[in-house]
Amino acid sequence: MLVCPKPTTHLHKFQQGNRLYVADLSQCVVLAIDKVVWEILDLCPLFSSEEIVEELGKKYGNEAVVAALNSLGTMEGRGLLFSNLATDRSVTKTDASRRLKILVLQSERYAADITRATGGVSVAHHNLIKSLEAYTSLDVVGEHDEKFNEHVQSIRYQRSDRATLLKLIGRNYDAVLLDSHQNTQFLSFLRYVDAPFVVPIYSARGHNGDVINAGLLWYAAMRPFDAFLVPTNSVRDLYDRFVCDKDIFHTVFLGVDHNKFQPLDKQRAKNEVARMLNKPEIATSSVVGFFSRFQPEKGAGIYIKIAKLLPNACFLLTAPTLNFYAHQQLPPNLICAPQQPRDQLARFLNAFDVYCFPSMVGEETFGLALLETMACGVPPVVPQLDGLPEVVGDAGIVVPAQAYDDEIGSFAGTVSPNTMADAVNSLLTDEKARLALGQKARERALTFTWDKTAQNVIALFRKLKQIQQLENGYKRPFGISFAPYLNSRRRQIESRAILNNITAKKERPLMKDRYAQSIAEGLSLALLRKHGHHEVEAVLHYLYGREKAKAILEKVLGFEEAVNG
Amino acid sequence: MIQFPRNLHNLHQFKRNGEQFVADLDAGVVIPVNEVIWDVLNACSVLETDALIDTLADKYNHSEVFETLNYLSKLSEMGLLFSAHQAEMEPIRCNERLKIFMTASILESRKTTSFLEGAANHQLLKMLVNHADLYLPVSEKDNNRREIEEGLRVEGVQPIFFKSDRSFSPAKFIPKDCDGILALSPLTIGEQVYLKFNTIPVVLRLSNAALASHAARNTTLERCAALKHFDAFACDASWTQTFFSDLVPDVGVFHHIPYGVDTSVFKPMNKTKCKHQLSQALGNEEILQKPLVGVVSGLNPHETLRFMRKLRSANPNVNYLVIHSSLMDDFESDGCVNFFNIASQQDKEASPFIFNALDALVFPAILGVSPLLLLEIVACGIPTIVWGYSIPEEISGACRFVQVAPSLFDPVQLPVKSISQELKFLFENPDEQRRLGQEGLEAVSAYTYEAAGQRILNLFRDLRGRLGCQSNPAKHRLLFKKHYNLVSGEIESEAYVLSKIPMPVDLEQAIAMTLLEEHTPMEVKTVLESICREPGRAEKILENLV
Repeated sequence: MLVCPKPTTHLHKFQQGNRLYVADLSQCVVLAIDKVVWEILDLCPLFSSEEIVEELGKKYGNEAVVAALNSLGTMEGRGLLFSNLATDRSVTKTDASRRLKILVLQSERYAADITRATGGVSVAHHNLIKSLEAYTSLDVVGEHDEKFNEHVQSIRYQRSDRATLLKLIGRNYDAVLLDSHQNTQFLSFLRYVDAPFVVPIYSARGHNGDVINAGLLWYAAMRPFDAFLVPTNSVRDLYDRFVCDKDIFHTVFLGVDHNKFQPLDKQRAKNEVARMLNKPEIATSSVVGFFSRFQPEKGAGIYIKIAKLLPNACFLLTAPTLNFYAHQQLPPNLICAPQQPRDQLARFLNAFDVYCFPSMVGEETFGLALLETMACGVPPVVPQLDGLPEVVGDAGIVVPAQAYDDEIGSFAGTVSPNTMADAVNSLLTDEKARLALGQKARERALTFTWDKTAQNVIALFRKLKQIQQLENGYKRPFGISFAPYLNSRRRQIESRAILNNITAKKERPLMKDRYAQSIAEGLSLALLRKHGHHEVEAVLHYLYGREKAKAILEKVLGFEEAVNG
Repeated sequence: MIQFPRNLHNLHQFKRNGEQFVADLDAGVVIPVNEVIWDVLNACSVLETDALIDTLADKYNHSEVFETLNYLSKLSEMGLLFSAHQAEMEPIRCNERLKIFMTASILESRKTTSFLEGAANHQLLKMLVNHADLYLPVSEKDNNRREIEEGLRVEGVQPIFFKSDRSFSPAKFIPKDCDGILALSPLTIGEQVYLKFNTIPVVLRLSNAALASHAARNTTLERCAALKHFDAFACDASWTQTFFSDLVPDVGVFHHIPYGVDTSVFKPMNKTKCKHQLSQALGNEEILQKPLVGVVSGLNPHETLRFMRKLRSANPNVNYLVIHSSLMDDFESDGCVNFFNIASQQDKEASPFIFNALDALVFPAILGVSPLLLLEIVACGIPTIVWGYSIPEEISGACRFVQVAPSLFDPVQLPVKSISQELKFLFENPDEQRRLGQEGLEAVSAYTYEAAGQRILNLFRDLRGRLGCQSNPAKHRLLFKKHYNLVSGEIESEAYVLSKIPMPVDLEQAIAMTLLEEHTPMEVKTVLESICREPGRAEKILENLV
């Protein structure tokens, strides 16, 4: 039963024909109601439920009033009528000092903190959101309307419900941030929500093509004022091999929480881990660490091989599960620790003398675990694949590796365990060099902060907003005709396109009234009326191949630019 | 962009704390709206898009209006505010006077049209003015009514003066309640724009005489491709469409509307007297010795001479009078082959007498020749041999006919042998001569300018009727995207129809589906023929979609 009194300032009642309705302005819903509910809504801001039953019971009978209050209670449970979301429909001004209003589309529930990471993607997204809180107002979609703190609230959204979608449209966001490009269930929002979308790509290839296809799906649907947020240039360079629009990729490095991840007394850390795992050799040997999921894709097999090649060092790994390696004979110098809680991680990472991460191609767009280990002053040894070299810079050893650039969906890179082992060994045997490199790793890690990431992302939001404002002008569609052409010289019937110098508004922007064009150009201009230029790119790619498609598209977009400015 | 007029859902508009809202009772949602939307909703079920934009432009700035319409089309896509169907255009008023917008090129007709058609168009205009309101866009720089009327030589056409501004098409000045656009003389390139972005029927006069060159034929193909299902060609010759029948998917766009013949001028006269007059005029007594055959050439001067040389050697027992309208008047007559240029004012007045001097006519039903000559000569009772693409409907087959197949690239083949056989037959059979002359006269008597004018107006009524029952192609939300093909390991392109469950659709078909929303089936066919890798696929795709 609905517990009154309840505010009703966001409700509007009206009669249309002989039916009664109430409009919930905060949830964008209209409901047909009966006379009892109508009168309850009159009374409920001031009276308790019992008083309402007593008052209206005289007229309608107590049972009817209680039944009505019960159904209103059910409504409230579904987030309707009595969930009063602060409405802010002020027209967005481009005020640099104003907090940007960001809609966050994510499939997981908003959480104030994460204790155990399920993967780099959720760590990255969580930290990005937390760092954005300082500068922006965030609405995160969820099951209920709920306020978490001054600048973060959850907004009830139900999939394929027009009213909840309308509610989001009505809130005039400055930008929309996705949790991951693989979350394509929000793709249709692009059609309805006008704000720039920022879609992070934390996973670029491999995975049997799933991640690249999710990326290409977003790419096709994105508007000129949307962007991919990529953690290193390696992602942009990968996509550059098969899409034309490079400018849609914006590289913003991820960060690391330097309060959590910092160098501790190494011997003490080793002693504690040795005690915890009941492996005294950790305290007395050189420790080569592995901190990731223990899977072939992450280089688990290569790590095992390296452990075999360097039997005198202690190989310490932390992973949620050993997967199929659990059933294998592992070398005696390989010590497996369970996944560590995030607040215990730094101590664990500090027990590493060297961090060895032989991940395969396609797995690391950035290497968040790598950066967290570097922040603890541990020198890394990584293969020259994907985003890893950009994070390591000169603060670690980047081992040459073979990457097969044409391979997108499958395994496409190898690093030799011998080369990796040599690199690891060179650090283990040269303490001076190891410590110096550890110091360098720490210094480099310090230049990566989540606050910096947030600042860069906000700068991106503002830049996109500006692009959107420039884009929003009226695009003049020209009248394009297609006609057969009797080519008497070649004695054949050909096809051609004609650009007529008239727009839908009967303007004549060009000097001459008619320009003959190739079918490719005419088709592009005609398709651009209904489709984004990435979609037209896909069509041209199909018809003419990548290189020619790029040239045609550049020409056509250049023409549109020249006309529309 | 959203198109109006549209019918609305059951809506309730209200204001609350200075903010405006619309409750969509059919969809069960409340939509916060701005003033522009408020105004649009109040007007959009009666106004067309352009009119609506004009109304809003008085009150709001340009970008506000477009942003709002953009937003409304999103709401519409979500199934909100508007009912699915576009409000229908009001049905045509059958007996009311039509309002027809004329293209300005009629003013230039003396430069662009042949002399014959210029005069015929003048006659036609005089008739149309009696039955319809005619509007003519006139650039203000030549704001001189008398000059215009003299240019037209018709009173009653209402000029629409507009500032001569190259940045706008005269199409912008078409009165809102116009029933159609009529281009009596060939469209200038600039006027081609009437075929784009308008929602009223366009009727293009297609002059057979003007189709002599490849360039003109290609222009016609271009216009034909752009014709919407409520536009049409009004051909002056019945055989024009035969040439295009293999190039155009639907010859139904070609409507044959012949000019009229002034039978008070073109009528049978005393043949002997006329022959004497002609012989005097040409200074050639030989004409009186043998039968005189009129030959309308329709070919270029070089080919005409070749044709005559062949005809003469195949059939030396007659004299010939070549009737032409060539600007190059350097034909040299000899005793047997004589020339008459129809394109001079003086000769025009002489033409009924000259036509009456003929004993037979050889006429080509090919492109590049005016059917008016056929009507006028047949109206003088002259028996006729027609060679060409198809038997001319104009004279209901009251002629001897020699078929030649249209050729897209080669010069017309000249069936000299068959023509001379027909000539021999004709001169050996006076009964056949009489029959053809008589049947021809009867057929031609149906052609008046009054009838031609009515047929044009009826064509407009018919076309307007099609506006209502417009079979809009189903609109799909399509997405073209690249994807990584797991099997081939390559980046390929694919298309989807976006619905609750996205459905893959053949990419070429998806291109056709998108284009059909704004382009004609013929245009789409042209594109498909150019891009489809498999022969015959264009037809298959279109068959499925249209």
